[in-house]
Amino acid sequence: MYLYPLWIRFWHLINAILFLLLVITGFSMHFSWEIIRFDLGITIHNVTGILLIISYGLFLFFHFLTGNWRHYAITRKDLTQGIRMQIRYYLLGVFRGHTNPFPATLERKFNPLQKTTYFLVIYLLLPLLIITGLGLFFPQTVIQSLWGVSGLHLTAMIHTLAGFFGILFLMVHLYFCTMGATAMSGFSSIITGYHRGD
Amino acid sequence: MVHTSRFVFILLLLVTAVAGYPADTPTNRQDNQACFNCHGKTHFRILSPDSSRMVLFRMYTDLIISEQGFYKSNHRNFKCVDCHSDEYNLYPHEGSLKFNEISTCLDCHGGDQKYAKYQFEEIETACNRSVHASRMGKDFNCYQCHDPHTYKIAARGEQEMHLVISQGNATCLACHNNSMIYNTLVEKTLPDLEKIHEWLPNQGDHFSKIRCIECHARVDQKVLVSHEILPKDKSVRDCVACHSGNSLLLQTLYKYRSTENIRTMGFMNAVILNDAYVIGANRNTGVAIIMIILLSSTLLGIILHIAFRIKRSGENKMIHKKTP
Repeated sequence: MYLYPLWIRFWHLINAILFLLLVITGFSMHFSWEIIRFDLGITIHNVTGILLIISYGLFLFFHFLTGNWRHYAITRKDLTQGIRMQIRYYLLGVFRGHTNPFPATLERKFNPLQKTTYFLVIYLLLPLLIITGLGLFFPQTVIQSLWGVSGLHLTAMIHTLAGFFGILFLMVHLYFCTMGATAMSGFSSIITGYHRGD
Repeated sequence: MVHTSRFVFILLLLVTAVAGYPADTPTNRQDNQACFNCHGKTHFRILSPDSSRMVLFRMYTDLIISEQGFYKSNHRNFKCVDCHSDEYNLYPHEGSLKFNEISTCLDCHGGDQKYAKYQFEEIETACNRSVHASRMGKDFNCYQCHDPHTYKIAARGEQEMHLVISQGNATCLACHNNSMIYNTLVEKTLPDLEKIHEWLPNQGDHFSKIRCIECHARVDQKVLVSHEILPKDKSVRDCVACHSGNSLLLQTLYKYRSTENIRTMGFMNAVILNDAYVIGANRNTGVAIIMIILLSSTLLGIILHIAFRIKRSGENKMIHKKTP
């Protein structure tokens, strides 16, 4: 089943590379680990950050142009039942040999848990990372203080927290990719575009 | 009547507060006025030797003293002749007076318990070791960098950090960003500061958020402001020196605040670096710990899930083998 068109796969690849570079350089600078030389880390972080913004902008453009956004639209039923069923499947069903309650189809690419997570990442986490990142890139635009706390510090803290949640998402996302028909089928489907049934 | 006098008193208090008069208004304004009549201006008039006419002269730039700056300075209560010879009370001044030795900072501040906390002796020792002293020898003195007429203590005060930084950097830039002055001291072209600091990421932020001496002076535990200016090859060029938990800035720019914090609160408050966000130095330990716990528990959850999946797939294989 052809689920992922070329533009999504291309965007996904670019996004993955940029995000990994941002995580490595971000960690390196935040903890002063110097995995990458500090000044080089800053340059890479700045450049990849700007490229991520461009990539995000292009994604949104095609996302709405092609109707891809429909796959991310959460329903009330997803929230009240779907997510619970999907979590139950991952925690128990998988070990009892149950089938996936929401297998991927052309009309429904993502299960309710995937949908909600991707929705939060795309419409909340990424904009938060981008806005706070831009604030740190242009510190003069950030308000001086908010309730007595430095605006720059708050911006940096939100940026760091959002980055941490991004890493958290990345870990879980990568792991869930191993839960397709075979351990590698999830990875191959985002490369070839073809999805093998769960 | 009582009400009226109370009103006048409050009004006076308010006017004084708004006008921002220092607690001690300068005491020798009248005595100094004669000096400022000429040295506070770009031009001055003086009576010709035959007393026949007043002659207009231009004041030599280096001899112009800002009257406003002087009365805001630490030395505002001084009479000019406290430091300069009282023979300057005669006009026109004798040419030979130029050769009089002028008091140095240590002449007043050295060996005096009142000024002990400023560590003037230690500052002098550090200055003598500095690159300036090694290049200029005996010609180098405190006044090359600090104008005693307008000098106002900055780092030890409670004033905003950006003022401490701009005052500190103005001291260096007076020569290092002025080719006319630079060339009277050094026989080489004034380097382009932006170009030689090209390697510095976010150069503008560094120039405005820290002082030159943060990198260009050896950290001195004894004095508040390091005075041993280093040659460029010995200056700090390691980003992590400042961008780390144990930031160098706590021993330099934020030294006063951090020591005051420890003295008054008993611990060093992380907010002392609040004026600027210093990546690596400002990290919130609480947030980092919570997130690392969250990340490691997610990783542990994934490992456990994998283990159960492997176990389950082993059991399935066994069932398939047993089934004919």
